[in-house]
Amino acid sequence: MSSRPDINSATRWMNENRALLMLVALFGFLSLTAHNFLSLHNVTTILKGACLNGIAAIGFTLIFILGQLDLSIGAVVMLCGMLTIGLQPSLGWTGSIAVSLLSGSVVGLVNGWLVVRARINAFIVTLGTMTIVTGLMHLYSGGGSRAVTDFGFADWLERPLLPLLPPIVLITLVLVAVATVVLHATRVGRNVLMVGGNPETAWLAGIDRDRYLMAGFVLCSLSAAAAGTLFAASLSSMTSAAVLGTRALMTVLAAVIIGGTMMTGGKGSVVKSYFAVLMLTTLFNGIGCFGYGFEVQIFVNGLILAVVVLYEAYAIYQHELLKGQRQDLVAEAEEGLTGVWCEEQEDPEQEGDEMMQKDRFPLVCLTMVSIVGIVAIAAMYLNSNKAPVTVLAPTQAQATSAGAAAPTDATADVFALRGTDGQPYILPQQAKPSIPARPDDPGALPETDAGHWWDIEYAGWDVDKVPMPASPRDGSPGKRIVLLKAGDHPYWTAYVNGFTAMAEAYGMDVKIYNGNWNLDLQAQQTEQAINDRPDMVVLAPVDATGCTPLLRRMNKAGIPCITSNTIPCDEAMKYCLAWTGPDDWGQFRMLARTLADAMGKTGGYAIVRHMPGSSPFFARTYAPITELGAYAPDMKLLAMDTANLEAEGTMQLVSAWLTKYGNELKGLVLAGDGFSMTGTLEAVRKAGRKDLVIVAAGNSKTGMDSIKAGEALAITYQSAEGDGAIAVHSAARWFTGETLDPVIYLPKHIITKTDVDNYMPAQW
Amino acid sequence: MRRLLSHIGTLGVYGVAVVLLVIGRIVSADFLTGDNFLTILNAVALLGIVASGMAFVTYSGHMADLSLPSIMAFSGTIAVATLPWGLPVALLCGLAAGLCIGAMNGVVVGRFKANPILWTLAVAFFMEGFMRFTWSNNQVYPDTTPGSSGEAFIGIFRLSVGTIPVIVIVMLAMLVAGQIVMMQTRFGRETRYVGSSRAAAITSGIDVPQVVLLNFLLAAFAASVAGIFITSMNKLGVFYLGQGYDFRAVTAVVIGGVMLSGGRGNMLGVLGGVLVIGLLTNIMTFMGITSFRQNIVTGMVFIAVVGLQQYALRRGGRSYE
Repeated sequence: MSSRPDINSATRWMNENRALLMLVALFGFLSLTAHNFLSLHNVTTILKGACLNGIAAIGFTLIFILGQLDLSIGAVVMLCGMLTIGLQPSLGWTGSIAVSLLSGSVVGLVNGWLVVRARINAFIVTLGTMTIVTGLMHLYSGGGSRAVTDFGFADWLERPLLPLLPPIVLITLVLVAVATVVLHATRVGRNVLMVGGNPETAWLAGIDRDRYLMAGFVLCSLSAAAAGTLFAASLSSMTSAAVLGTRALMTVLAAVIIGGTMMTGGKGSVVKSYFAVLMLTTLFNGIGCFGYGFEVQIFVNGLILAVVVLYEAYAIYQHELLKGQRQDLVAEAEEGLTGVWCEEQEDPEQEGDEMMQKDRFPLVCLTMVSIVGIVAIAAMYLNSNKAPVTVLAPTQAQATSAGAAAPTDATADVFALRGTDGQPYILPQQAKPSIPARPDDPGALPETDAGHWWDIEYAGWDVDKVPMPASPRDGSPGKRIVLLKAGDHPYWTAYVNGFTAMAEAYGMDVKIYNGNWNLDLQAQQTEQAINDRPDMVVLAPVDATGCTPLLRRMNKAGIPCITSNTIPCDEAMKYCLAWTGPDDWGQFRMLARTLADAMGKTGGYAIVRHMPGSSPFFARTYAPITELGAYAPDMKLLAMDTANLEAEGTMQLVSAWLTKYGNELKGLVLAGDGFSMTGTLEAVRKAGRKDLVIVAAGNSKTGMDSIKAGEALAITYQSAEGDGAIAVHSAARWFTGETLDPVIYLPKHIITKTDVDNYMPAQW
Repeated sequence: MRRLLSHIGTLGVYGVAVVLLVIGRIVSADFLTGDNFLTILNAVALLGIVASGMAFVTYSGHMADLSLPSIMAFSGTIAVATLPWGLPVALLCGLAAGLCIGAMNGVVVGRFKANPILWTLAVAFFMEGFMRFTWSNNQVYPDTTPGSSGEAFIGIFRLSVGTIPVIVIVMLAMLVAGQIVMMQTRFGRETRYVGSSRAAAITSGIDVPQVVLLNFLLAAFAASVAGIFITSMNKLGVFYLGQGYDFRAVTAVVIGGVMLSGGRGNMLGVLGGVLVIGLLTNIMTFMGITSFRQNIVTGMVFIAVVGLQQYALRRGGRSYE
């Protein structure tokens, strides 16, 4: 009886090719179960979606094979994407791409030099460069996003040359192929594998390890730069929200591991990493097809990675048991001698008797994890069926019953619908606001002049829209509407509540995709939405400039689109019917005046800003600055900075300001009334400055509680449910044939202690 | 001299702290006030608590525990969700929840020898998915009517002994306790052995899986405590609390001299690392440097300090890498 561990060759083959097998299995499963999955358009979407991570994974695999780590690839993707777009107007595409790739190489050189020459640990070095490069990227972009109006290149990249193969996918495949061939078929490639796998032998063989490591880091950053460049070029814009980079790093890391490259080095394959990236992209796409949210995607992502990591550990354990053994001799011994000798040979082994139990332990745990995973997914599936999100399928019954109640009845009713805070979702159409004339050259004006920001503040008012699809003019009952929401946040939960309530009132069917603040993901989801062929798409952009190509694609596909919540740039406004949402700039002008009045139009103030890469980053900073500049010129702006909406960060920032400026600082403007308010109130409390006047953007529970307690003076009223409802309401109006104004604002109001009770309980 | 070099990690970080103090004094007269110090300590208290746990994971040679942020969010949210059962029960539930995750980590990394970074990353992913799903992507609010346990819960963060907030005391206590555990107990010495050379530790008869399990449990405990504080501060529990603390904690731990390879450094160094980060940020805010440039400076300081430490170790003959 032998308990000699043996991974038979079938298991080994399955393990070696697990990425490809998982991809094929997943693809097959989804084709059979998810409708709309197996279409030319959707498969192309998956291939396109795998480009960013796929190209970055090429370099990352190389670094892993060399036994090192590079955490900075996410930041390099963002920086190089930003450079590509930012320099395009002055240098053209060739110039900006060249500069961007060069900068990527420079970052790689720095990484390599620090690891090889200064001999600092790669984890440390790349953690540091990740922070530095992120800071550089934010500096260069100024916290905003960039876009170019030239869509020629982007279109060329996206249009399929052969079925399923647009140039961007072809470029990715070519790069993957070249890398694979070089790695496995050339001497240089084999040297790389040797340097990573057995540095001592490599040194003995005369291979210059330092040079290979240096080259590895440069190639890794270069591939990340290429990924970022192609991504930005395909969208003709780049966002500065750092989440894109962080997600890319995590996805690439998971993919490379799942693909079979180990962190210890010496073994790996670029093509397997690419298959793993494809598998993860297919997974996310498929889960989106079912209508499940991001939570399922990331849960399954984590589960797959966990299983793979466990299996790797098991494989290493098996391998170590075999260390030093001569397989052929042991096999001989098994066949020939069946006596005591054979078994005694195994006993002195390190692990001894426990070997038998341990042999099964990993397998048992693997099974357990898989069972837990399956149960969890089943639970989520069952639970999600009760969720208000329905799969796109208009029902006959709904059409006839809602049709009996004529559209006019629905219109009269919807104004009476109230949200959880007791306020009506929407008010009857207000008069179109009058806006000032556009200055001739806004860019030439100083930042403190309101005219400088005209294009951003009044985006959409002055554009010529491209030809739009015609309205069917048959009302809303039975219409299918897809919501591409920006991400998860309690505000958005309330938004979706208002959205679905209004849609139900109109008899519309709703399907929701969650972009999770990731432009890459939202781009893919746009394609999926087009694939669904709904009657209307409501897009809540992740990025104000990055949404332009998305709207363009939908317009070209003949699908009407309304943008919501975040005001897109002028260029994007051309391609959508209308934008609905809160008047961020106007609200903050009102808020600024409230602050000035409370401060007697004199004194110093500071601004806690929103997150860079979001549209409130500019609105909630420069609206108060320009307004106060005109309304209360005696007031002085002392400081402005962002704490990324974190409570502890805000607390630290405000405390430092209070120490530095003392009594000169009399007022604070906050870009958010949630965590920012909490942190600010802590800092104010500790400093004992009850005299400070605080105003913020609202209106969350935290903010309203602080108004009630008298700790803050005023917050803006921004009904999240109303935000969702007004988008649906505008869609319904369009379905009846009405022409929509290009910009439709939610009602504005400043909440103070006198009327805060009217808005309780809070929506979020 | 040799003893001095062996403590170069810890000394180094305090040296940097002194340099920063001098720079701070030059930048602003208000810098060296008790109030300002309290502000700095307050700002880094949470980071210090998480770092005290992360230090054990790093010290035992497991680089980093990337699941600590999700443990923070999980323990805090569970604590808020169980408040109806009373404050002590809620706190215990929160700690227990965090410890469960830590135990899982410890068993998988210790007994199954999975790669710690990749495993804890996987845990971070599926915990995020799990938390999002369980609470439907919403925030969980405690019931704060006066006299209820919810009110007491949010008061936890706001307690202070005199002028010193309780959170600062907890941070210092945990760091001192961690130092004692690391240096004076048998477990601490075994951890150092495991971190320095796992194979030698196995051969010496140390129960390595047990040691690793305890290390991850300690890290999870620290993260749970931090999670309760951060939830108390924000007055709500949600899945995205604590994001970013994994890398920040590793930064503090490594600046403090606890090398990534394991088996080096001590908790006092970690305290120094935390202080350095706090001082640096404070000085930069005083100088009016905005957060974008602050990132660049922090990154450069990080690489420089750690590079010097590694260099000193090599020169002193204490390390080969």
